[in-house]
Amino acid sequence: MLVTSAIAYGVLNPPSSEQFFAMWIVGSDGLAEHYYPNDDPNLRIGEEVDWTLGVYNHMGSLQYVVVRVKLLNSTMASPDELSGTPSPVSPLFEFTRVLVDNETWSLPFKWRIDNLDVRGQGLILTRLAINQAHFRGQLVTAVSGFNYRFIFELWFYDPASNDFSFFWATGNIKHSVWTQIWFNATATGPT
Amino acid sequence: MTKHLLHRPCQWMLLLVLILGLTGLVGRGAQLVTGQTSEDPTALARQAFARLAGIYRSGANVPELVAKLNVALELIQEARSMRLDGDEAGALALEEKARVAISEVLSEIPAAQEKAQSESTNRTLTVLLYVPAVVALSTFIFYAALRAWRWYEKTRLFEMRIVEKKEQKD
Repeated sequence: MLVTSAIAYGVLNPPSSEQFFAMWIVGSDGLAEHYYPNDDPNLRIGEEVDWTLGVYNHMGSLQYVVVRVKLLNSTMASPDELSGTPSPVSPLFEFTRVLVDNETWSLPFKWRIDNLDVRGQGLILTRLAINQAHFRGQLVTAVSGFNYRFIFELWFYDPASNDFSFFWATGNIKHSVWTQIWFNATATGPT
Repeated sequence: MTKHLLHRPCQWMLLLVLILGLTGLVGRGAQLVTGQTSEDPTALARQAFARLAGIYRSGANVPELVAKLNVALELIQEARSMRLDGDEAGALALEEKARVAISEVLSEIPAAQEKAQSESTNRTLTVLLYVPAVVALSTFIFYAALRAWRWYEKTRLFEMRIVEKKEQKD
């Protein structure tokens, strides 16, 4: 009787698996390749770049997530996984969604550079389009147009603090999810 | 002096009434501010999510409400894009649509909560009935198998004795 009861309890209450989020970016053909037009990371004004972002929820519960898109150069601070600190740069754009457990969310990320300004050695990205949104202003500067990068940070809503959180902790270990893609820009139109 | 003393409690009373009145006004103001904030579609979305998460924690699924909330979140996102392009009127219209969608989700949550609660009760009852039934059945199977094995062993023993007796007669 005891053995059977223990087996029945084990079947009805399986141990909870590890909790995590995952995020990735794939290129125009849905694979981890062909991220840039003609596989050339030196982007010209007006060239359309086609990526797809993927987010997977394995936290064992319903989650309200935000993907914060940040535009940086090589000298700006990246997120810090050890301390669970996000990049200090303000997000350019956000994607939000509620994900059930074990759900994968694919979101298109089509973008292009609409304008660049030259100032001395620096190249300032002044106009950018992401999906249907248009951004104007001095977005980011890079020396000779080299090493710009998009950083994608995954944040999730924490009802306890009534705010979005960048990290979650298991024991003393902090976990956070972010990814980045580098590109260069040249102040000429598409050929 | 007596007149002065009589005046003092009156002054205190007046001061107390003033303080209470001011506190009431401040409270009402705060209430209004809170009311305005809760009308913000982003805040409403958070509220709806928190309640939906509660339903999922109780073991029920409400995918249709989650889908509705996601549509509202997309509308908020589109509104943000429109605002970036300078279309404030379009952004406000989309935000209003999102607010209506989230309000619908919020109004459907109590029914979903009730459904989730009854489903949870049914699940508990099923488990409570299922576990003793499985235990009783497996105990019976074990007992029957044991009896069958013993019967088989006894039959084999009788067969051997019969053979022995036949051999003695020969």
